[in-house]
Amino acid sequence: MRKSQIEMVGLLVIVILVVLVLFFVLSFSLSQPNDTGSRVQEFVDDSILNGFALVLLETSSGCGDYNFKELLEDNATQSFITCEVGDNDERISSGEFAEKNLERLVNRSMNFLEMDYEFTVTLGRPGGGEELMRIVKNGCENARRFETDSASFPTRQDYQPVHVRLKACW
Amino acid sequence: MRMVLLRKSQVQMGETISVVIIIVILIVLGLVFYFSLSGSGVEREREEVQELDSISTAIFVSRMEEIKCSRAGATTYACIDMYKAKAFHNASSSGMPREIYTSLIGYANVTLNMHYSTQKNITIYSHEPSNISGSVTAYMPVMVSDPVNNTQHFAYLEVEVFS
Repeated sequence: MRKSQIEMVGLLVIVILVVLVLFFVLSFSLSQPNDTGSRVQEFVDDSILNGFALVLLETSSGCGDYNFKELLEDNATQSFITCEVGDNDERISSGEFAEKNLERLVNRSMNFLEMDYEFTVTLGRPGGGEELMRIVKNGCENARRFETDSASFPTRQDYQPVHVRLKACW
Repeated sequence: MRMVLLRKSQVQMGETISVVIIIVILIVLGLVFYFSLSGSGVEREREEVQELDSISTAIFVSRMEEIKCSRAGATTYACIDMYKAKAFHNASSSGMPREIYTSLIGYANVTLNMHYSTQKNITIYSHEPSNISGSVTAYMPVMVSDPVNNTQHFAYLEVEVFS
């Protein structure tokens, strides 16, 4: 092999090495997840739902002076409260009224944010208690990301606490 | 003889120069690609800072004593007094207080989005820059209290921060 040929092979090896190094550097920098960015996104998403359940519970229900928390508490315990609907003095139970109006409120607020959701009210510990209410839009089983917000409040001494949970997903 | 040697060296030089040019082109292409990537990263970071800025503004506004609910001196979590909010908007639109709040809130539009209830939206603060290059909006669930009618409404505190 001539000297010039050896030089050419040497230069070719250098070119291949440079291309390989560039390829690895770029593929590495592309595959590295932006950890800070995802944490910022999590924080941004979380802030949208932060306190959602608590605010929802304190919102006036439209049934007398009761808020949703009081209606859910009544529904979970003795069910004394009835609420007027329509113009012909028709009355329904606190649970029915709360479900109907919470569904409208949650649906409108989550549609505004363009999110799917699962909203549940359970008596007792979440996941193991008795489910009192379930409002779902599309569900979160196949969601890429989700955030949850929840709130609990005690009922009378003989009863378990009521747990409200909103799971929003994209 | 001299002519033959000169041609051979010229060919060798040509080979070397062409290879060097190829290497330089590859390196330049790599650098251009790398910097365009890092440039989009800078843009993304700028957006993240803006998003965080809008959220911190939303938190700040929701905790302002000027508009917070209070009952017997005690404040309520994430609660804004409807009448205080309207009064604050009137005051901040009238000139002097705007300068005070510009340093605290900056260029932003802060609105109570109440389309979930029968109430109309309430603008709390509005100050737009003369040249808007972009904006980011943050939402925060809050309760809007009407102490006169003793009702509480669900609302979103909508904060649009301009840059």
